[in-house]
Amino acid sequence: MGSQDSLNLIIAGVGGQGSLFASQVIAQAAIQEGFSVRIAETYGVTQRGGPVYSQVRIGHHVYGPLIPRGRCDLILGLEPIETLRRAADYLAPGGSVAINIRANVPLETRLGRQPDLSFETIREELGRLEVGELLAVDARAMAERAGGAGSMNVFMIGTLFSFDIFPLSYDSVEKALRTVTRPRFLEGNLLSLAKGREYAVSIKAGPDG
Amino acid sequence: MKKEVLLKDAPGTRVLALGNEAIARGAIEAGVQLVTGYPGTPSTEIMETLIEAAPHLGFTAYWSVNEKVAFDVVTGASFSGVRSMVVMKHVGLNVAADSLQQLKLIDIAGGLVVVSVDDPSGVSSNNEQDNRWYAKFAGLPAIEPTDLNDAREMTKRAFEISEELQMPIILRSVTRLGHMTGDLELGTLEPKREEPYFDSSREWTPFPCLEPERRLKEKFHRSGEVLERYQFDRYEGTGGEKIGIVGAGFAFNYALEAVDTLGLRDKVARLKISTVNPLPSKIIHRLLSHVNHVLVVEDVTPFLEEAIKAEAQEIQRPICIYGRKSGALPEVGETILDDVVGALADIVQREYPEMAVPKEVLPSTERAEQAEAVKKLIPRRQIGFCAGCSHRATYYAFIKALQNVGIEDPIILGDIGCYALGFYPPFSILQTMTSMGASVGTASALAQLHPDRKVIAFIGDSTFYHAGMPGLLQIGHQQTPVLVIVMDNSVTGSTGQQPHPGTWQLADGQMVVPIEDIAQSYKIPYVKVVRSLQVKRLIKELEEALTLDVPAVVISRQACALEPGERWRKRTIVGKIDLTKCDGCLVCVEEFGCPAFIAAEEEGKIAIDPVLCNGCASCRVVCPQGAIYFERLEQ
Repeated sequence: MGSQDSLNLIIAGVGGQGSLFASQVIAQAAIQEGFSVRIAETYGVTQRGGPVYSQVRIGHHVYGPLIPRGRCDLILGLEPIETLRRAADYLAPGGSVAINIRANVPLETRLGRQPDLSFETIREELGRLEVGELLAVDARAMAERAGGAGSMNVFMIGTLFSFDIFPLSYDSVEKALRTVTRPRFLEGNLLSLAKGREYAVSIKAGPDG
Repeated sequence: MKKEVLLKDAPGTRVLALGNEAIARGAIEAGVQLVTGYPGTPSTEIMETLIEAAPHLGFTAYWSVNEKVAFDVVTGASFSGVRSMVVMKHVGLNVAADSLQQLKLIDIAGGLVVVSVDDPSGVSSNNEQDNRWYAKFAGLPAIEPTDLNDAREMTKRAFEISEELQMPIILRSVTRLGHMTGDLELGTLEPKREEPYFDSSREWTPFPCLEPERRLKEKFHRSGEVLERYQFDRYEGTGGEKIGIVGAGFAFNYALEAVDTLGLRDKVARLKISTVNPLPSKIIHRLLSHVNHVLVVEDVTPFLEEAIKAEAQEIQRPICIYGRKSGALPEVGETILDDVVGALADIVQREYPEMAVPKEVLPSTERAEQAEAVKKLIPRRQIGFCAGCSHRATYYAFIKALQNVGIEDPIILGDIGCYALGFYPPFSILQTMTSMGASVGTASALAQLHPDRKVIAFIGDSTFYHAGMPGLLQIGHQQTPVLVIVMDNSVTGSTGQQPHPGTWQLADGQMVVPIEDIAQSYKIPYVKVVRSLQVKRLIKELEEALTLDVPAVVISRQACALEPGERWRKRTIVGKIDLTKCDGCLVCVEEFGCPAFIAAEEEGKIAIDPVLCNGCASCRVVCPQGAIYFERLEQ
C-alpha cells in the first residue's frame, strides 16, 4: 500500500493527452528526491485517440515496472473511460483516483453502436471497486482558466498534491517541470500546476470534504 | 540530442533512462566504434540513441538493410580489431543466424556484442521466441541484465569479455526492460579507440571446420570462469532456507517482488542468474545444496529450469524444481507477478503446512471476476491508421478497384508493418502474414497453384528492401502473374520512421535506390508508381493492374503522415462536411474510417475534427453525397 515512502501510480488517458509527459515529470521529481523509479509504457499502436496508460512505481525499493493487479494506490485519470478501464484491473481497495470528467467518447458510442458510459456510471463502478478518495475535476474548464487547454495534464498533476499518499513535494515537481517542459510552454505549465493544486486543496477543505 | 545526459562524462550521476538507453550508454562507455542493426520493436531505441550520439563522440552508427547485412557489417569490424555491436529484436536473430553460426568459429580481433531484445508475449511481434536458446545452439557465451544499471554495466563489460575469449557474446534483453524507464547511474567513459587493422595473412574462415569446432568448444569451456569474475549472478540467503527462488535476468525482479509480497525473505533464498550461457553451475549448486524446492522464474521458456533440473540430478539431492515446465507457471506468455506469488505460496504451503499465508497478499479470483464484469461496460476504441496515412488511401482504392473490375475471389497476402492493420476494420482485407518479406514468395506459389484466382501481395517499402527482393527476383525469373503492391511511405514506419535505401532524405554521399528501378531490373514487365493520396487515379491504376496476366508491381507512394517534415502543421487545407448534404449513411466511417471523422452536433451525422485532420484530402471521393469539401487554412 502506498505511503510517504512508496507509490504505485497509473496515469490513464488517450493518445495525445500528454500522459507520457506527465509520467516523465513525476519520475524526474522522484529521482530528485532520491527515490527509485520505474515507468512502464505500452509502446504499440498507441496513436492519437487510442488508449494509453503509464505505470509509475516510486519507492526506495522498486522491482519491475509492472504494477500487480489490484495494487495501484493512485490513478491519475486524464480521461474517465480510460480511468475506469485501468481501475478495473489495477485499483487497490481504498485506492485513490483523481479523474477528469470530460470523456473522449468513441465514435461507435456516439453513433449508438456501443452502449454509452456516463460519468455517473463510472463513479458508481469506481465505488464498487472500493475506491477511497475520488476527486472529480472538469480539468479542461479549469486548465483554460489557467494556462490554456493544452496544459490539462499538468493541471491534473497539480491535483495530486491534495492526496496524502502522494510522496513528492511541490518544489520537486515544479523543478522537474522546468527541466522537462519546452520553453514556450513553461509559463503555462507552471500556472496550471499551481492552479491544479489550489483547486484540489480547496475542494477537499470545503464543507463537503 | 534527446538525452544529452547519455553523453556525459560524469560517473555516479543518476539520470532517468530507458532500459534500451542504458544498453546504449554501456556501449558508449566501452568505446564502441561501430554499431548497426535493423529497426525492430522493442530494440529500436538502442540504435536511435547511438545514432544521435555517434557524431558527438566520434564513432559510427547507422541502420542496415536487414539483420544479416548488419551482422556481416560488424563481422568486418571484428576482423579489424575494433569494438562493434549489432542490435535487433528476437526475430532479427533468425535473419542473422547464418552469419552468427559461421563467425563463432573464427577467432575475432575486435570485441563484438550481439544484442537481442526478445518480446515475451509477442507484444509487438508475431511470436515470442526465447533467444537464449541461440546461445546454447551456437555454443556462445550470453548474459542477461536484471535492471538498468545491470544493462549498462553488462553491455560495457561484454566487449572486454568478447575480446578475451575472441568470440562474439550475446546480450539478451526483453521488452519490459528495454521499454522500462528507471533511474540509471552513469559509469565511467573508457574510450578505447583502436586503429582498424585487417591482417591479410590470416584466413578468416572456419573452413575446414573440425579444428575450429574443437577450438570453439575449448574457448566455451573457458568462458565460464571468465564470466564468473564479473559476478553478474548473485546469491541471497543464509544457507538454511528450505525453499529457493531463481530469477533469470529481468525475471529476477518478479522473483524478488513475489518473495517480498509474501514477506518470506527468511524462508526463501534468492538467486539472480544473469549468466545465460554457459550455466553458472557453482552458484547454482550453492543454492541447491540446502533447499528442498526451487521455483524458477524466467521468460519465456523453461531454458534455465531444465538446466537446473540436470544440476540437481548431478548432486543427487531430492529437490523439487518448479517452473514453466513443471506446470507451476504458465507455459506461454511473459511472467506475471500474480502467477509467481501463487506458485511460491503453494510451495511454501507444501514445505510448511502449518503456516498460514495471508489471504490479502494472494491474487484474488473474486477481484479478477469483478474486473471482467466492469470491463464489459467499457466501450472499445478502434485502432487504425493515423489521419493522413497513405495505407488507408491505398486499401480504400484497392477495394474499390476489386469491386469495379468484378474480382470475386482474390488471394490477398500481407506482410509486416503498419499496413498489417489491413487485417482490421474497416478494410479487413488481408488473408496472410508470416515473416518479413514472405508475402512475395508465398504469392508466387499461390498464383501457380491457383491459376484461376487473382493473387495480390502487399508489402511495405522497408520490408521490401529487407527481405522482399529475392522473392520478387524469383517472380521476375519465373514470370509468375502476381500483382505486388508496395506500400511505400518512404521510411521504416511502424518502428518510428527510420530511414532506408528508399528514403528521400539523403545523408551526405548516399544514393536513393528506388524500388521501381529494382523491379524493372528484375524483368517485371509492368511497374508503376502512383501517389497514394490521389485516390481516384490510384483506383484506375489498380483496376488496370488487376486485369493483367503478367507479373506487376504497383508502388503506392506517399510519405508517412508522422514523418517530421510531413506533420499536419504543414497542411494548407482542412476537411469539412456540409451537413446539408450529409444524410448519415456512414459510408465514410465504414469504408474509409479516418480518425478525424467524428460525430457531428446534428445526431447521426459526421463531422471532421479540425485538429486531427491532416489535410491530405484522400477522403475527397469517399462521400456518395459529395458532402466532403476543403477550406484553405488561415496562415
